[in-house]
Amino acid sequence: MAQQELKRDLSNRHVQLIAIGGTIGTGLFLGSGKAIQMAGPSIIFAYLIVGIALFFVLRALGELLLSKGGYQSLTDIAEDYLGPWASFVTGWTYWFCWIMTAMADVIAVGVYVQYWFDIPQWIPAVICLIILLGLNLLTVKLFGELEFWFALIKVITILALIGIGVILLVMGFQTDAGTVTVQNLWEHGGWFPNGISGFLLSFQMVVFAYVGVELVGVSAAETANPQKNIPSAINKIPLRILFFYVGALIVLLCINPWTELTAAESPFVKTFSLVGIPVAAGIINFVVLTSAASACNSGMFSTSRILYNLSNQDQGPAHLAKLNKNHVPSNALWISTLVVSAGALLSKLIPEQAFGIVTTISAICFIWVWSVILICHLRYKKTRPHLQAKSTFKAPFTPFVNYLVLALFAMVLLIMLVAEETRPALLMTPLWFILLFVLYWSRKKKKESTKISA
Amino acid sequence: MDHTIAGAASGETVGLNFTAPKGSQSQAKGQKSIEYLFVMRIIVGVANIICYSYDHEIGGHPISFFIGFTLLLIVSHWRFYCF
Repeated sequence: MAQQELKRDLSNRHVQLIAIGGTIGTGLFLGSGKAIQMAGPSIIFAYLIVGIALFFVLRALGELLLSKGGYQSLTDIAEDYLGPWASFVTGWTYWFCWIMTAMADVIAVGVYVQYWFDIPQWIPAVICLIILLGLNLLTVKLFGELEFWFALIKVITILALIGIGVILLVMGFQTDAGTVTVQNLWEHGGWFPNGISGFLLSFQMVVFAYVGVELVGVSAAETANPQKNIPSAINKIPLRILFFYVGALIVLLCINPWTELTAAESPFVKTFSLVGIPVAAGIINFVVLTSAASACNSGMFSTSRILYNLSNQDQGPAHLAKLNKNHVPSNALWISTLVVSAGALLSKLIPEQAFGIVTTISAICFIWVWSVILICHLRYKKTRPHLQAKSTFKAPFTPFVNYLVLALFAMVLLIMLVAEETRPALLMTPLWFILLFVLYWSRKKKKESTKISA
Repeated sequence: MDHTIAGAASGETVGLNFTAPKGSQSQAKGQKSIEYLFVMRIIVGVANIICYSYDHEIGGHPISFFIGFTLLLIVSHWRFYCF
């Protein structure tokens, strides 16, 4: 049966850097422009609040993963604590989360290419998808190596931005928009120029910027020494949040006032344009373009593997578990790519709203997945006190912090309902969950009737 | 040890080999729930007024919802251990 197994050609170096790089993506590079326009400098607090909440989610996930050796994925945890329905719904929702994230990345590719060429957004999106499909149908090793370098470029770009920003701050550099100074944070209408409403409305995009953060914990669980690697990977998250998200945004907002940034353009590219280095701005645009393409590549890779695993666990159609001669789940990959290509279609039909719709749906689905982790942790505390007593990596302030974070997620959903822009996507998302519940019950009934007839 | 009706309802009088009649237990539980709800409503109301004084759009409602929902979950944890 060795012929029918996935090739596990990714090393620890690949897995770890892909997990870090996968988190930093379109949400930060493109979405932050929109969020800054809504919240102004208070966006920093929004990133801090959501970052702290997600750190607690990851601590809960870390404790759960270490409590039992057999956990391989989130669906295993959901099945153990909430039952098979939760495993089915969470598994498929996790696939859908990554599909939506990949769609957002494909749309972002179209937006970035418009920096150089005045062509419709959907054309680069389709070309990007065709190239990535071809690459993914080849070997896993090629994917791992490409992603490793793309993730490294992404991390180096943010570090370079922070470094350059600090130098400009110390020099008191003059840009087209004025002097580079920390006073830019509060001198253009204060910290909350659009009131509490603007601050709250930015939460949807901030949540989207953090999607995939749970990969750090899950991928650490797949390494040789999870007892050591999970706590180490999760405890580094606050530092990463402070550096890559909060640090980068503080520097951006010090270099140019928030009033200079627009939703349609990456604030990272705009910053370098304002500094008066058009070549650098072009380079940064290329970096964020590769970042979106690589995030889409990761999305296609992970969605095909999630489908493959779901089918292998008898939670999806059997033909999706078929591998090609390169040991790649080609059927699952084709299906995932076809669904992601709807993003390119959205780019053609509603180019202005496409990014907002898919990022909202993605954020809602990830909120489901993160909430399942917190609820599983509450169940674990209640039903397995013996495991909790033995735990060497206890999540702090539980169960109250779990309730606090669950309430924060509920508040974000309420904000999405109140905001006109996110409301249609929020109202559409329950259809996905209804479909999953119907599918689950029909599969269950079918299995029961097959058992009776046998 | 609490010898009040509320204490009996929370099961603290078990050690005295005395339990309040079933009817009064549920009455006490209902009374306690009303007290919790009353306190929560005051906290949420104050939060709403404070937020609204700063922001006249949607500012107050999501924040007071957040505070109210957190309190509800925590109170549920103490009383019923939800999830």
